[in-house]
Amino acid sequence: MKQLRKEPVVLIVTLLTFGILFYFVAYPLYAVFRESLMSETGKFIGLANYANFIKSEYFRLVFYNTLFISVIATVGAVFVGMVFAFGMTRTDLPWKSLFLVTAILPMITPPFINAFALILLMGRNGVINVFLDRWLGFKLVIYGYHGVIISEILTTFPLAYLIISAALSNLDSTLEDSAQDLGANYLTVLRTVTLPLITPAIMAATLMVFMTNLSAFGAPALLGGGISVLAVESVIQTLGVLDWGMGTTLSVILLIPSFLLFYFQNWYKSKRSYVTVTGAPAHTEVRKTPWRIKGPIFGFCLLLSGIVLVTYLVIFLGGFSKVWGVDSSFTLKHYRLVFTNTMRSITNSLLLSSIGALFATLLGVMIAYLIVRQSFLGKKVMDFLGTLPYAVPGTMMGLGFVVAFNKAPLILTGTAFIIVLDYCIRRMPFGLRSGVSTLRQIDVAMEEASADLGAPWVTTFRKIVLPLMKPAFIAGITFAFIRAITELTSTIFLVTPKWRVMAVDIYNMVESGALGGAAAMSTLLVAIVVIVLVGIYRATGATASMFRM
Amino acid sequence: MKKVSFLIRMGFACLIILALAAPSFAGGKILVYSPWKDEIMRQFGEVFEKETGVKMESINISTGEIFARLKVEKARPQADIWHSVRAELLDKAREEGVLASYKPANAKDVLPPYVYPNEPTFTGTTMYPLVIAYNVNTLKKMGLEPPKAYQDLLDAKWKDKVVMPHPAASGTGYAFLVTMVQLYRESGETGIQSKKGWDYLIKLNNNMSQYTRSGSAPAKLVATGEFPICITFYDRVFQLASEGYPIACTIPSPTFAEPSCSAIVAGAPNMDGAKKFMEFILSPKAQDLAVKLGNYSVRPDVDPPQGAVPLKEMKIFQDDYKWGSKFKKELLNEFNTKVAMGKKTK
Repeated sequence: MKQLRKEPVVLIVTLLTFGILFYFVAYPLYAVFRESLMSETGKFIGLANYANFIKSEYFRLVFYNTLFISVIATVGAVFVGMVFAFGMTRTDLPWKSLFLVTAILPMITPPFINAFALILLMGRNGVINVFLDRWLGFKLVIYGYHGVIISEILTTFPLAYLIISAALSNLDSTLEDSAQDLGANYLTVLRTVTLPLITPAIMAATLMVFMTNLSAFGAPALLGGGISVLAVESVIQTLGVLDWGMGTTLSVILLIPSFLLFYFQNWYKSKRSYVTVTGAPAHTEVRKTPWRIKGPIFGFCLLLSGIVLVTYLVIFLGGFSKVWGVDSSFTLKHYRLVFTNTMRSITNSLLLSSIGALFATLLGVMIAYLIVRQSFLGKKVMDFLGTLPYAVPGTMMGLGFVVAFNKAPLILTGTAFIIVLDYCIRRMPFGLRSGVSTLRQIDVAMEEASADLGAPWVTTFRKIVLPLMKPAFIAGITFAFIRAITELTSTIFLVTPKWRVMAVDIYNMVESGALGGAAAMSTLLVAIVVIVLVGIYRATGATASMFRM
Repeated sequence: MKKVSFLIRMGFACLIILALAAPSFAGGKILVYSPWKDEIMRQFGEVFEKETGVKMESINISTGEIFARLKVEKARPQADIWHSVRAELLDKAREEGVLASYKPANAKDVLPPYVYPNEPTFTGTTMYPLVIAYNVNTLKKMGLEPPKAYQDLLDAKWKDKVVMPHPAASGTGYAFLVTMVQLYRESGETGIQSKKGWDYLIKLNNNMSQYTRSGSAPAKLVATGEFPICITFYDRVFQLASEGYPIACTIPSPTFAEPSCSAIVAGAPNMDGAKKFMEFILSPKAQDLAVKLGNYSVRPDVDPPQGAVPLKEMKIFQDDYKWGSKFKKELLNEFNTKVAMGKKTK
């Protein structure tokens, strides 16, 4: 270890990494905070914007809306995720592969896409409402609290599913078997053995889902009707009212709960390690489940899968129908327009997301290496800054880049760099996490052997570390790419007319009522993501475990 | 291993390509920021190039975003022209120093109220009144007469039937807000006070189904039959109607008819071209084209759009744009708390 530290290259890399983290993570966030203390004319006004926030009845309502919607949506999403996870890991449910697709699709497509689909289904001219209106004379309109909540549940339940199902499949099923052998019936086992054992996972899922819902932008923006939430209001204040002070204030207010929850969750996770019982691999066996248990679960999963698949189906159909809900005759007009007017967005999205994902992963893996393998002062700080972008809501990060890099010494606004930078910084924690977990599994002895044989650090790093980290690298880059190309919340501040990207275009088209074009472009985006994912899976055999990040 | 370093090299290659692709303006080209659709701006660009030899590129973004962008780009301006924006916002933009001073010579041919002689930085270039638009088919099916005046919109039969853009997010919505507050203001009321004006907006909120974020969304929603009635600017009605949608409008009296202006961006990369554009946009040729797309001309010698009510038959509302600019924050806060948040009554 010691001689690695003496390497000048390592020192340079460490300092460089620190520089990047401070300048591109800490500084933008500081800039947002500083901006929230400024008046419109750039004078320092202390906490006046925060006082205005508390005084304003309207902003208080926005705050309550955010909490209310997030709490209900989180309870719903965790419940759905739990039923899914239990059905998939603990029962011999039929049609499991269908349910797996249902649980993965929402994770890889833009988070606002089902909000859009709900408009196509249950907007005032949605297919369901056209039908209801014709036959029963009423409409079930999706706009409002219920719409936002439904959409957020559909978006976040897969996250809950992944966390809970991971815990369930690590659970030793012999415990449940013993309980059953001792005479406990199925539900008693569930209540007294299974549930207590996965409580930490449920807790973790709840926190993660809640955090996601708090900072959600797409669903409340599209389905809120007259209802606003913090993330949306922050965008309106910045881009609509042009009050940067209030826009940044709102995003700082949104940051506080997200930030606390994230670090509470990390702390909680580190405390709970005793739950995974023994070091020996868990023995899991899917038990025969009576139909009276399996039946309702199967029905529930089927219903949900139906809803999820229908949302994708209407988007697909929407791209081919002339005027959605009014004239449903077949047309290729929307695709023609997408390809002639917004081809740039498609190529931009592909180019910028690829570069962003590549650098995100390089940076993340580099930090992971430094943290796990090197010892230096400020390691905790590096870890913290490397993970921070994950805990910061997208609106704040996007605003941060705008506020920090619109003036000398580094002017990036209006260029493609700032979008790449956003993708890179926001997705870096994925590379970092997968890097850390991979490195921890690799014995340091190999690197020491290489160093003992006289190889300089660079050679050891290139010939030993990097090849061993290839799986983490590929998983990280794939996931970062998917998350980058579907990113909306932070990019909405950064796109320029020259550098438009698909996700923001789709959002703008939905907002201005161009549903056909939005549907066509959404279909293309989903297709791109699926092709990339399947391609990488085929080429490298990377597993679905990359979604655990 | 090879793959990884290959990836790194590819990454750097990509960065270099990006660096080369980024700044490529100047020369015989101007860049216009405009909330008008690309298709429309393209038609102007063709005529502009034919007339002046200068190429025109345009970028379609909402007015609010243009302002935010100009502020952000102040240190290194990208655009030459800010097209189609109202005086109330330009007043603020001038204060922030993002506009260059230029009065086109052609302004002498423009109708006096659209010249803004006291404003060195901008000039009115086209006009479209704020109207009440409705879906002809839907109203026929409902057996209802279209509303003719502002007060008609308060009728209980329109409950949940009206849609307009949110004043905080859209210039169209804000125009309606300032019109109502000023129109019903009584003597003795100052600042944003206007008891009758706010009462009107609160009552209208009962009938409001949705405040959209996009200024162009309401007209589109009415055209496709999602809603029967909306508040919108005339040009959108004209364009949708000419595309064959069953949309028509009434012009309430007095109507908000502030022109939409154009201005040169401070430090415009192509100042010469920008000046040419300002002259061009007021020329009869450009004005004819604007009229074909549903705008009213600011020149007295150009006819109104086909089938539209001529200007002299309209009663134009005297808007005080300086007031709308000064009290924007207060007006929006009052709107959010008193109007949009208000409980709907039966």
